[in-house]
Amino acid sequence: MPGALEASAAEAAASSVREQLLADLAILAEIEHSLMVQYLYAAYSLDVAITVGNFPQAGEWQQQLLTVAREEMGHLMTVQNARRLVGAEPTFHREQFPYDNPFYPFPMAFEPLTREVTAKYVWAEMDPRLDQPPRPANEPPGEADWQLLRQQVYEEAKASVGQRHTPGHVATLFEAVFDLLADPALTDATWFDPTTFGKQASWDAWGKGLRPHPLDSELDHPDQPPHVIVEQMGTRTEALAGLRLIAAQGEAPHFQQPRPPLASHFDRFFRVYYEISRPRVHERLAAVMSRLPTNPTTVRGVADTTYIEHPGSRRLAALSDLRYHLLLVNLGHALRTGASEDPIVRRTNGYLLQRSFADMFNVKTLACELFRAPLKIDSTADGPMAGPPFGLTGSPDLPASDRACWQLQRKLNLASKALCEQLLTATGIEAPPASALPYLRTLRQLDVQDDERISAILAGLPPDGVDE
Amino acid sequence: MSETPTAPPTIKSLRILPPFAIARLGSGAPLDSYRVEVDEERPLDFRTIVPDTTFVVDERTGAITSSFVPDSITFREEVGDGTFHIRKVAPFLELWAVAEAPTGDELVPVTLSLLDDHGWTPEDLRWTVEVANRKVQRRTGLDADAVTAHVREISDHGPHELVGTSASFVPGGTIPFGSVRYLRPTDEFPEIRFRFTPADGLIYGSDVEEQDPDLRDWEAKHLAGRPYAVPKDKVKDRATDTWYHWWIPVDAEGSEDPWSGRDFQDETLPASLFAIVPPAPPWLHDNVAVSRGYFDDACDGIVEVTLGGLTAAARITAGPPALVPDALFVRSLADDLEQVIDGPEVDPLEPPDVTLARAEEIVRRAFETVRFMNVAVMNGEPVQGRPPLSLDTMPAEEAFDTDRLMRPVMAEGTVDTLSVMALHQQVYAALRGGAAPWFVRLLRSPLATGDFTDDGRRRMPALMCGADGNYLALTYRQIDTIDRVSREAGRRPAAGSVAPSLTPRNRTAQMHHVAVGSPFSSSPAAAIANCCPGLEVDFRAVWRRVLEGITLREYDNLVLDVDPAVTPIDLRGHRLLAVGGVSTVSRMLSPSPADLAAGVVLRSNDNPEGVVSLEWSNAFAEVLSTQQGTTVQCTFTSDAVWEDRVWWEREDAADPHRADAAIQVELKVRTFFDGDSAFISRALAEPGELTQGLCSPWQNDFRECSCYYWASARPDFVNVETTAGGRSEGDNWLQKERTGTYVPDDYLDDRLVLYDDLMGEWERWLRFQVGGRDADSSREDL
Repeated sequence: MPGALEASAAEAAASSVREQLLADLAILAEIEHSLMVQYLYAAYSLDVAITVGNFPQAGEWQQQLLTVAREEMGHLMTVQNARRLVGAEPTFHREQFPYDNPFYPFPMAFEPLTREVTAKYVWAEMDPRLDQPPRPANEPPGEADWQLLRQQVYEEAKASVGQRHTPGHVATLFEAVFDLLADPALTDATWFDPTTFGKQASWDAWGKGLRPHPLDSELDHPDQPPHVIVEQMGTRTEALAGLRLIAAQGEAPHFQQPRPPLASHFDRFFRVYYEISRPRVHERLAAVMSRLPTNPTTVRGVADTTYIEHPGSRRLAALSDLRYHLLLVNLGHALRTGASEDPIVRRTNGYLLQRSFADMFNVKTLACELFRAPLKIDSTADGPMAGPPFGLTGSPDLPASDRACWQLQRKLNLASKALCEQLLTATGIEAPPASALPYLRTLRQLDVQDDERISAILAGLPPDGVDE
Repeated sequence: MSETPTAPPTIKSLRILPPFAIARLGSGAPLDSYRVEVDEERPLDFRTIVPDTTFVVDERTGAITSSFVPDSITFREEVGDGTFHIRKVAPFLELWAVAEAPTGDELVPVTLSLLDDHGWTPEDLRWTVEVANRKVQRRTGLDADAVTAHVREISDHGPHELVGTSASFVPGGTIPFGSVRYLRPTDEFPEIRFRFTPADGLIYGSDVEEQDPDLRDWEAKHLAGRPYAVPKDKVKDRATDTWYHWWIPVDAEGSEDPWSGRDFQDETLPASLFAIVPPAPPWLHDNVAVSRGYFDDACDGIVEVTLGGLTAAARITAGPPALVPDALFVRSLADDLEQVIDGPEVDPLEPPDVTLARAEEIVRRAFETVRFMNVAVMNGEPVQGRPPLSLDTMPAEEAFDTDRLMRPVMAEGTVDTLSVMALHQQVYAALRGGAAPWFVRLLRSPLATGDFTDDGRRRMPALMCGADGNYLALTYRQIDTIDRVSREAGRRPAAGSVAPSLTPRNRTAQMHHVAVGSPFSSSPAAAIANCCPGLEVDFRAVWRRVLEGITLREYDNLVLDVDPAVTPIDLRGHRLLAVGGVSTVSRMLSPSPADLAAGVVLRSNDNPEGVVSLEWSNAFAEVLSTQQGTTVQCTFTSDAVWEDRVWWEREDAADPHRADAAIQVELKVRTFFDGDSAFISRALAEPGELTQGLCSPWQNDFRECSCYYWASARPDFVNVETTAGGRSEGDNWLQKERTGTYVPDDYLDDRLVLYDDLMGEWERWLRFQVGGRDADSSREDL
């Protein structure tokens, strides 16, 4: 049966393409996720520039970074929808794939914002073929100047990522994904399950309070607040359209022609870069930011990290990591319950949505607290500060059953409450900064309320094995 | 060697504090004093009710004989046989003096010694009180229907009854509004105090006996008197030979029509403010609204005092009890008054800690409000299979007002009371952690209360109604408070609330001052205001005469009256479109399928230009802040437009096609407060006018306005617990039997407290909530 061998080869090839597509979408999700948290770190680091460094304009830079980070959240959800469409579960990993794959624009690093770091972000979000100056700067460079500036951005980005790496563009991955998706000869129509449309994350649920994507009404400008795009998709065409939309908003504006009405992430970063590059600004900023750590961590002895020596700050950082873990668990759990056809599972979806938003607040609040907390035991008021590690202390993967998910939620919730208790009763160097106490008291009470609620939910779930 | 006697400091002026005191009706003894505090260890708990200094007044002499701090506060007492007495709130008013001092003027309490230092005696003080109930007058438009009571120039210490009389009453007919008393100062309690003790909360009727036997029996049992003499021309002879009293004007098709009679009817908003002959409510029964002709004994008015050529005044009002004493509404009367006093923007020099403390307090009140709302129901979702349009919610109101299909505000199934409350609490936690609140962009702009796009409707505060009948917005000042905190990232968190100091110039502190002996619920901070219409006062009424020479309608931009001595142009029927260039109107927006972000103007047959009138408190904020006492250019429609709302925007002035649509008139902006005090100028509101837009009787406010307006003042969802499914379950506050299962609001469902239940036995059915739960039925001990 000569045909069988050919068919088998074709199946193997299709299987390989499918795996490639799933892998590419997973990497895309990881990139969106990791960019988002790195941008958040950089954005929150600017609090120091505003309050201590006397950089009033840093508030504007911070807004630009936060806007990008919020929009990245929408991108992440849209990519998760694409994964759901082709039969994969959402993923909230960050670096499951090796960093030497060609798609990561730069190795993940939590760094305070400087000109070099901004250059890295500009380069990552840039259209590789961009040959004209970007539009948003107050004093846009001329075309000749732009070529020089572009080279300068590259060199600073290169300096930022280190000798072992070459800064890349996120657009490269989008192009690879589009090449696969757009070709019916490569991607079988049956891979796209239209019944997942209603099970995917929606703007209605996730775009709370943020502006939806404008279809045709306005030319956007970097002064505008975020437009969060959460696209649902049931077909190949919709998948392409949805991914093109986020690509256009973010990393690859050339995918939408003519130029998109949205201010792209590149536009926003370039604007910040342009501001920071003014004479004397970046030197002063670098001096202020030198008080903040790169890759802060609660674990001693890890290469390329900054250990948080101060016990009170370290415990606060551990709480920050825990809440970050809880945020990822909540996001995954919310997406799963939203996709479930089991009414018992689905009924908690609203609560999980709110929990997800709540932990976004917690991550932010703790980040701000940590950037005000001492790094070392003997840190003076103007000495080195700690920072949020954004460490993954546990796997973001969810257990198989809904009950097990809630048990995990409860475990993490109780751990948070216990950490709050420890921090609130600690004294001396074990204690967190006094400014954190009102927040910790409130968080402790929220954890108690949540524990009561999660216990009630668990009591209402059938035992494992029944609901599976 | 004898010392030279020091001359007493010169008294420059007097103040009555607080300048706005809220009394609360009840048939029980005056409520003991308490204050509310936030427990710093458990900041998400309900506020702690802390018993405070309470005075014992000798009924015979009018002197305070002693003071004590009660162990607990009892809000309601069962006196046997299923009868309850709610304890009335009888606020004290204190007399203070602005005294010259070397370091600047000081605000000092007037005491026996201070009087003596100036050669005065307590008998030199003269107190005058005038209160009124104009609810029926507002409805009928007849001045004769005002019920007023005066007590003039008293200097003794006996009780003085406030006996309400009216030209429309039968001979000898009266309505008691309570009493006032100038307390006798003593060596032990030397401060000068005055007290307003409100009435019992009774209902009065007319001299026409109802034909319906059930209603006749009900009235015989529950009416406290029948003082109102029905004008002969109002007794209608229809099939039933019943009396139609005052009514909602309707056309032949049954739609509300202010011109259905010969003359323009100045309708109220809402129209059905009065108790009607069953069945109620009228909008479910062909708009037939036959009034029962009831009066209540609520009132508002002015207390004045004179001493040695100096005068001072304060406003008093008597309204329903504060039924949730340990929670506060997100936008209180104090917020609106603060905006008048301090302006729509936060002073750039205000210390960040003070701003942050105020921002925290706003967010705290937001979650205190949410926790009493059944959010899933108020979101406009089906309940127990009932279509959401059959339930009284803001999205349903919006659908009726805009003639379009109803849609839930948030994505269906995603909102739940405990979840949404927890999210608000998380915002509160973040604020306490000093994180910049990014949610300022989630707040509804006061200019966008008619934005019915998804984005617009989801703004905060959500699901509640404001004074313009659209979605509630905070005051500009509240929004700017949060905005300022958000702009100042990284600042230190506040160490709790910061009490303003009581100085002659600090009118905010004077407004917030709670007199010793008064419960906290007598404060404007415990009252709602910017609502439609309100509970304690209808604050919309205070803006009607803010522009000298014209009288505006309280709820929209229609000019009702002009003073020809001030305004030569007869502006009656014209619409005020802008003041000082600030528009008083905005557009209704509807989501566009073509562009969810932008929306399109929402037009309907009733509102062809898709216009909303903005609520006065925010619309006038900027003008009040900068131009009190000066003239300002006002833009009116060039013609009288009695019925339709008219669109106008600043650019129209330059548009040759629109330029003729408007005329410009210079009018003077009245000063809001008298002198340097925080007393709302008499020119803005006569006694009775601050309550005239409220329901008659006031119990209707708790029934008509259903569940969603002011949840922490008029609760909706109580005894809330988490179910096994993780969702919130609890009782409708107005359901008679507590089952733990929410009974959807329905005007005819006898599982709920209905109109007659409430009017007849309000002290039984209005149950106090403490800690989010029904307080004990006999004693709300804390």
